[in-house]
Amino acid sequence: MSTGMRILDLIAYPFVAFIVGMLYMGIARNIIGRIHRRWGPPVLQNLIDVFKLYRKREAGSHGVMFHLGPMIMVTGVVTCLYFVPILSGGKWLHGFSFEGDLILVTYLMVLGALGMALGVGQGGVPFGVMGVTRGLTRLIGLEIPYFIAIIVLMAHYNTASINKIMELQAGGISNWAMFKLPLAFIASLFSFWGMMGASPFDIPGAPQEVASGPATEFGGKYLALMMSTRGIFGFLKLTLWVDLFMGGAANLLILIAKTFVMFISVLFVTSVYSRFKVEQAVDFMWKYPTLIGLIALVIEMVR
Amino acid sequence: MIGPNNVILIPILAGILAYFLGKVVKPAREGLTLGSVIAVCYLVFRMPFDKVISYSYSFKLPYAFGSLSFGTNALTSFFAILIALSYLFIAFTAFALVKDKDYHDTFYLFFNIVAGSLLGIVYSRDLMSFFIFWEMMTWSSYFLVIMNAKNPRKTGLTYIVFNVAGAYAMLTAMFFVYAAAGSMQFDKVATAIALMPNTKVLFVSILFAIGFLVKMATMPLHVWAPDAYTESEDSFTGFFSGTLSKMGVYGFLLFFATIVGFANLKGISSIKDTPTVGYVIAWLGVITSIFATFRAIVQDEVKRLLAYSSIAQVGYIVTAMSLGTALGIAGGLYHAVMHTIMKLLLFITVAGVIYRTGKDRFSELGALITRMPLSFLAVLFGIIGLAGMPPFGGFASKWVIYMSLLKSHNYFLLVAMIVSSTAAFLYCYKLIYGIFLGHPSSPDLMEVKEVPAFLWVAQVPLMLALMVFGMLPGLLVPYISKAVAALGFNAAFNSTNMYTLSAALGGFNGFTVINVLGVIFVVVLIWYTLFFPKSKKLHRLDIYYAAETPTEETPLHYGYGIGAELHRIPWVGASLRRHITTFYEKFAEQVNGIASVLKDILFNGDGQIYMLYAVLTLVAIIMFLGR
Amino acid sequence: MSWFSPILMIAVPLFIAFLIPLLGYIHKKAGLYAMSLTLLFNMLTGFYFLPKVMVKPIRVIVAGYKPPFGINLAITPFSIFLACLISTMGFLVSLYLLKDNTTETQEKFAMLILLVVMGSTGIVLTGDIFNMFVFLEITSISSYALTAIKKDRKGSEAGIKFLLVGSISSTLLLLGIALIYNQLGTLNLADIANRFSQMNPKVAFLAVSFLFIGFGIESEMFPLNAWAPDVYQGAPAPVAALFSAVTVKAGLYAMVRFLFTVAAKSVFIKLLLVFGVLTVIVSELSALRQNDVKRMLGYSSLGQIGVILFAVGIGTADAMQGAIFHFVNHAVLKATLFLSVGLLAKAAGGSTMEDLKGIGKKYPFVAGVFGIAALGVMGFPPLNGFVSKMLILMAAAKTEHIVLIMLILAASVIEGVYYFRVLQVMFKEPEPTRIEKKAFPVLSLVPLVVLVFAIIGIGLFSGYLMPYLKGAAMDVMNRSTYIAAMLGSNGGAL
Repeated sequence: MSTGMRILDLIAYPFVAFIVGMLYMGIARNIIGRIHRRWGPPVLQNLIDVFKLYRKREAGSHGVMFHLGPMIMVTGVVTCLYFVPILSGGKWLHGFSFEGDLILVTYLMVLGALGMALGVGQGGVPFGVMGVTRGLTRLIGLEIPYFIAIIVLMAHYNTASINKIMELQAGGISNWAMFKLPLAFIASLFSFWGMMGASPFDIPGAPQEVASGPATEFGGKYLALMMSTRGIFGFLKLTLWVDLFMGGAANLLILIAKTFVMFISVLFVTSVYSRFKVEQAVDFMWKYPTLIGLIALVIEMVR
Repeated sequence: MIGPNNVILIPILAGILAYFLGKVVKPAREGLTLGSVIAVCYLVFRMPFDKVISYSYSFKLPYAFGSLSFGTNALTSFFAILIALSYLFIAFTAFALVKDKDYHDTFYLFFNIVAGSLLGIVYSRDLMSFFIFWEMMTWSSYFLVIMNAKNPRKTGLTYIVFNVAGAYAMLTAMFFVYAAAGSMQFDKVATAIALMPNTKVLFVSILFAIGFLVKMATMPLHVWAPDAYTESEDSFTGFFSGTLSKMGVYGFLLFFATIVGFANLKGISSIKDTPTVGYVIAWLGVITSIFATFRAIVQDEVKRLLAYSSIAQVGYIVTAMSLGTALGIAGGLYHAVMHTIMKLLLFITVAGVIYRTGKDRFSELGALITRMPLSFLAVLFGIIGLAGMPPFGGFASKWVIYMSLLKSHNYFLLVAMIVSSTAAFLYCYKLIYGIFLGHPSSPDLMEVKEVPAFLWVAQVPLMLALMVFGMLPGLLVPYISKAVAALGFNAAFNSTNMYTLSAALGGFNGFTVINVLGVIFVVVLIWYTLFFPKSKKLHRLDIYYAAETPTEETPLHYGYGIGAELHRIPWVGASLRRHITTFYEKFAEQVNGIASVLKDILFNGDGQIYMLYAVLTLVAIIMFLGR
Repeated sequence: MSWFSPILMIAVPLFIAFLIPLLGYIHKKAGLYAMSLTLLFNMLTGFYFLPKVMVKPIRVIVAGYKPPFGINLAITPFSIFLACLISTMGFLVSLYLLKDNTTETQEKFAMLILLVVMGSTGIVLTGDIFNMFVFLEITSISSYALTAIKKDRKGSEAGIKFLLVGSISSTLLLLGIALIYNQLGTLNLADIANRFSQMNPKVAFLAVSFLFIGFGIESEMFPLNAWAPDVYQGAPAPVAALFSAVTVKAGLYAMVRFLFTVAAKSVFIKLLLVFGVLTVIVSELSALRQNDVKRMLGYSSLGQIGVILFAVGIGTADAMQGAIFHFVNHAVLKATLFLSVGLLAKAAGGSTMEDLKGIGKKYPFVAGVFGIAALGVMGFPPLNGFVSKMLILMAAAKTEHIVLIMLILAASVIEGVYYFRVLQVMFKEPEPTRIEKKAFPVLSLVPLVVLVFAIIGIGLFSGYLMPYLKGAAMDVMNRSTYIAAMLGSNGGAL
């Protein structure tokens, strides 16, 4: 692939993620609306919101770190995105995924949140810090089943590279990790729902409790950046799960189909359950999904 | 020929001279220390890294001791470089922070002696010199611990009891081995141990392990560490946490890998291809990390949080090392380097902050980012490293440890390590928020100056080092591989270039990560700062506060209480409520009780009873021995 | 110079001691100066003879009667080594006392100290067992008086207890000697050694037990040392230093010489092992709960004696070398500790931990000396206590006494606890405001300086001491050389 094509490919990366992510968020609001027996907002609503925020005349800032916080967040998320292959096989939309592995991606996912937390810190809103603390505490719970699941994956396929894991799932639906390692998949599903911010795990930004949480003080261009990052991040997680457990996707249409399946599961869960307190969330995650994951681990070790 | 024995003596002599000369000419103390630092760094770096040299040193000693031998090999050079650089950075910190204190004279005396004894430990090649310098390290660091302590009695007591007991456990094992080998030299000792029966080898290994685990503050022998780290002289704590704990690492590797040998231990009994002793110690390490991490989150004193964090991080090193695999030891060594860098950076910066503000609790600090931007940056780099996040060096070492656990199929250990590694994010955030972000807890915080300039000499290189090791994670690989090879293992890593790390199941390219990050960040920054209208600067108190208006008196610095919700998580809350110190306190009470009883009954002041003792002893001897 | 014989080390102090009351009429302090000069003379004489005796033991015949009929001095390597140690320690303590103005009866003080040192020198130099008994009595009675010299309550009480237990010691010794004389008809140590097997075994056993207990009381072995802490607390500090450095060493010498050279009954040597370890454990534990620093030092002294007894009890030449080395180190360290505590307690007005709070900040030099000595006692390198402790434990390791080693090391941990506690109290507590700083007289500080240099020097350069230690150890272990030297064939008569 020539250099020009490669650069185009790399630039396209975040834009694909952005557009698909925002569209998903819009679709989500519609589906949830139908579940609640009402019309939802237009599908393009989130994109419109982002553009509106960008057009605001000014935004308030509390200092340098406040200004840089959302930027570090988007940097972290997009960097992480580059190390997750969007398509498998072929030459397009691989990003830098051959130069990093699953552990790198896992840790890069946290980088954005931490950068955001720094910005929130300088903002100085107690609600923001509360949100950050709740988010980090929730992370202790969410990461365990997720990590157990990827350990099972890495042990089973004997590699830590996402591309390799995708390759080894080729050859039909029955080869998917979802069906070959079902317990691991189920354990990871709980973490997935938590990371996507589905109730009962939507703790950091709980509106009735902490007034938007980390996003409280941000407005204008900062809020726009945060919303777009949310979209990109959502797309990232969906793609990651598809790559790990559903064998990746050879072209964009299959990708959208597979991610949509995962996304629907999120929506169904979030519209039904009510919110946990953060200690309940951690306790729950440490009990049932972890147990399922550990059983999967033991099975894998015995094999 | 300048050999290891000279390098050891330079700081010790400098310290003693500094004490006496300093009474006459006060700056002589700093001057002599600086000279010693430069000499040590020069000599340590001049020695070839992986050449095996040995020197013998029959200083006028009793024949029974044999000659004290010293030497270098790759492992020794690895740690010697760590010690020399820590010595350099802490010396500069001390120059700035100790000059007004009233213990100015004794500080430099003991500090230099500690540095010298550390060099002695890594350069010794026989048990006697190893023990001599280990004990010298113990008593000189003791004085530095109680120098500025708030409750010297408790801190000093636990420090002495644990460290001396650990050292004596080691000594017992040494005597045991000496009796079998007839000599104290490492090579002879190694051959003797190879011939010893299994139970004896196990006995010796456990005793040695106790000695080193105490130094590495692993549960249940960690009780001295939080108090000692918190209450020691501020500029010294970095040395303490960064370097002294690594002596336990060095000793562990020396004895378990070289002298006793993991193969030997595996032969005695092993679980899944790991020696049982190593497996137990690995679990101890991971349990230490978990408990220490959670305790770190709920602390209010800044240094105490860092102390618990140190205990937790060294726990990772213990786990990685004790499994006895090449990659595990490589991971342990890598993390030793990274942890030293990070802890030095954090402790030095925190010492500077405490010096300038006079406050050492999160509840009293806050919003210092505007006054101390460089320190903020330093702590930022430090916590990115501590949390193990790319792109800085902390991630590389964690990655190697995870890979080693995956490769040796120790999945449960890995899961437990993840628990503590994820919880670490909380105390990292608390550290930076509590000091630099949020709102100031008292108005005089807004008048402080940046930390003294001498500290920048330490902070800037350490920050650069973190960044460079993140960018070029393969930079350390040749050195680590040589050290691992010196211990008798095969190659651990697959890669040979400095941009990537690859081993076992995967690999990553640190250079790419930083480049991608950098490009995106710059693009977004330019876009945002130039293409959008300028943001409006808001007053600190102009925040969303649920329809109320906060004033100067409203307590807004919420984050110092981070960790309150941890008490409500069932398992975490339970672990935070139990303290192993109660066990030790009860034990100490028992000993004190027995001592009182003995003293009062036997030496009760009645002269006639004393006479009775004599007569009774006589009668007893005649009765029992007079057959 | 046939008149310059080692007997002068005993004769001169005796003569000067009785002369001191007369000298008191010339000048008030003449007694003290005479004492110091005499002890200096003793020290120089001892060092003069030391190298000679290392080559060949000297036998000094008194009053022309050859042994085994007459009393003779048996100057063997071990004896002269200890004699040098005793004289040096006596001299240093006497320097300290030169400026001590608190006792009004200064002639009595000087005389008693001379008698104590002379008696101890006599014990180590003599070759006759009854002579040994006589010197032991001189030493003991002078010690009783010295304990109570301040005429205060604690001192008098301690003196009485010392007297009570000491009288048992004397009785038992006399009984033992009588038994031996009855059986063998001789009082000469070498002769007794030569013909010991001719004794009726039952009587021999009784005699050895009596002498074991008798010497044991003087060498502060458990459980016969109950009197010691009271004495160390009640006596003035320099006197306590003298006791721990001089009289105990003489008692230990007597014990070692008797058990190894004369009687050679291995069961009693094993008994020393057991009692030694018990002494260590009990003393260190008792010291843990002490509030009075002098009493605590007394317990610590007992603990170190226990280590010496343990080393002697092991029975090998290496262990004996370590034990003799520890003789030296313990004397030096304890003298330093007691002398420095004496100065500090005088300034603070008491010797409990309460009184000594923060005294390190007022008198950093003296407290620093105390600190160095404390580190030495605990056995931290590179000080002298470390070297001898290591030698002893290494010898114990060679003979597979691992459990006992662990017990002694455990006791050392406890030792660390209470010594560091004292150091903390001295240095870390706030400076006492009620005491005004008065400089200590220089002459009182001189012995401290010398001792500190000794502590550090012996620790770093112990190799220089090794030949002497080896000679002394060999002397103890080889009976036949002793017997031959004293009874005629290859002893150099003077």
